[in-house]
Amino acid sequence: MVAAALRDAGMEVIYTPPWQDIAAVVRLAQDEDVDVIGISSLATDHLLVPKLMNAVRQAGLQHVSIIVGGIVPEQDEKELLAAGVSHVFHPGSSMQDIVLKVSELARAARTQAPNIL
Amino acid sequence: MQHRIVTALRACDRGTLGRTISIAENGGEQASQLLQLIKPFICESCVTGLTGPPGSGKSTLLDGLIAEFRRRGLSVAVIAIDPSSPFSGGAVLGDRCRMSRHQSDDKVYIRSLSARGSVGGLSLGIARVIDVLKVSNFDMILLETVGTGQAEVDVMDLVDICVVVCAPNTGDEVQAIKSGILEIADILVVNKTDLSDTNGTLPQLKMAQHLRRNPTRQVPVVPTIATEDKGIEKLADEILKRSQSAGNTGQYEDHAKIRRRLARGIARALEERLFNQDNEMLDQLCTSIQRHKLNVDEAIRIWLDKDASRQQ
Ligand SMILES: Nc1nc2c(ncn2[C@@H]2O[C@H](COP(=O)(O)OP(=O)(O)OP(=O)(O)O)[C@@H](O)[C@H]2O)c(=O)[nH]1
Ligand SMILES: [Mg+2]
Repeated sequence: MVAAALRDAGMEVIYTPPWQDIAAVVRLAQDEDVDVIGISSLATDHLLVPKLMNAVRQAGLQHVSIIVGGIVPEQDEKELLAAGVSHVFHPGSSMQDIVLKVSELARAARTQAPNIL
Repeated sequence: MQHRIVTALRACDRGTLGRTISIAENGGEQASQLLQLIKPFICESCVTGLTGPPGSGKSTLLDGLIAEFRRRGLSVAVIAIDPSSPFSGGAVLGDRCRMSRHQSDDKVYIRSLSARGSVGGLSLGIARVIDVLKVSNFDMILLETVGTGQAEVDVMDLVDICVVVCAPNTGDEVQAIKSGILEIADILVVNKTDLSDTNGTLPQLKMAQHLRRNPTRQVPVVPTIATEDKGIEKLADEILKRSQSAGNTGQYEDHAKIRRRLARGIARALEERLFNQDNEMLDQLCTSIQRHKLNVDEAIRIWLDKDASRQQ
């Protein structure tokens, strides 16, 4: 549903099957030159996100932002934000908010991406 | 001195591949700069395209083909093109999902692209992307595209080997025959042979080959069950056989295909120019058509004659 909304806002969305390991997500982010990584969290999956953040930064993707969606307790959210996660969306977030936030983050990523030429 | 992008591409650095392909796809000044840089380092590699109706099993077949080529020690790059929404230009790119078993293999690079109107049309963008992949010297470059829109069919002029995939008893085989896609096929795959008795389909497709304009060109028909990895080995054999015979002549790219791409590119640029430029004669022709003094055919002829006399 989120993917369709983002597409309708003119974005390109690549989705993956669930349960990707961290290395696979980093690989995908590099291969596909993504701007934003969205993690959908069931149960306590989001606790892995700080590790993902580290791996993404280590791979040289400083400009890529990470967002998380799902049931995330307040304490966990604080930790995620402290680890550099850009935004946490809770159940019931409006699609419009999500689209706005993601396009804002994507635009920022584009301008911050290193110029390799 | 070799630019660091070239060094990184030749070492297959993932981050660099990802970034440079975006630049190549997007076109414009940056893409020209990039292509200029890499031009001396483009290697000869064979490009294989898979095309066919939506859902015929192209991505699943690719997943199997990647595995098969890896078993034979070949490195593989895949470009998966998904259609984009005609309204927003956005896209949900789902092909990669079916190829996830290769995600930790360093010798496999998969990139999803959408058919959005990249500058100068889809096929020009993809041609630039292929050049980038050729610098990284993958043994096999594979391209997936839905064989429906004209833009997607044009893309098949970029490949050296064209594999047409259809699923039997869905009307695909009739479509394939009607649409003329058989004319461009070098290899024909009948997938999902588990779902039906294909005794009808194979002879039908074989017969269709006799109706082709150039029946002397042999087109192998390969039955597959992509979901069970059946027939993949045979398909890989056929692809490699073709690529070797093309490689032997020293040149993969077919002169006629290049000519067609060139003509199409020039036509597109001309269209753009003729539509936008201030031109008195064109305006007069339009007015005459409006007033029914000329029909469009006549107007075109007048313009072309005038153009010819200008060039002499
Ligand atoms: N029974 C059966 N199902 C298959 C076979 N090959 C693919 N499928 C299924 O067909 C569906 C479509 O397969 P894809 O590989 O996504 O087809 P595609 O041609 O890439 O589709 P698009 O990219 O959407 O055009 C999936 O559900 C596959 O699991 C096969 O040989 N037999
Ligand atoms: Mg597909």
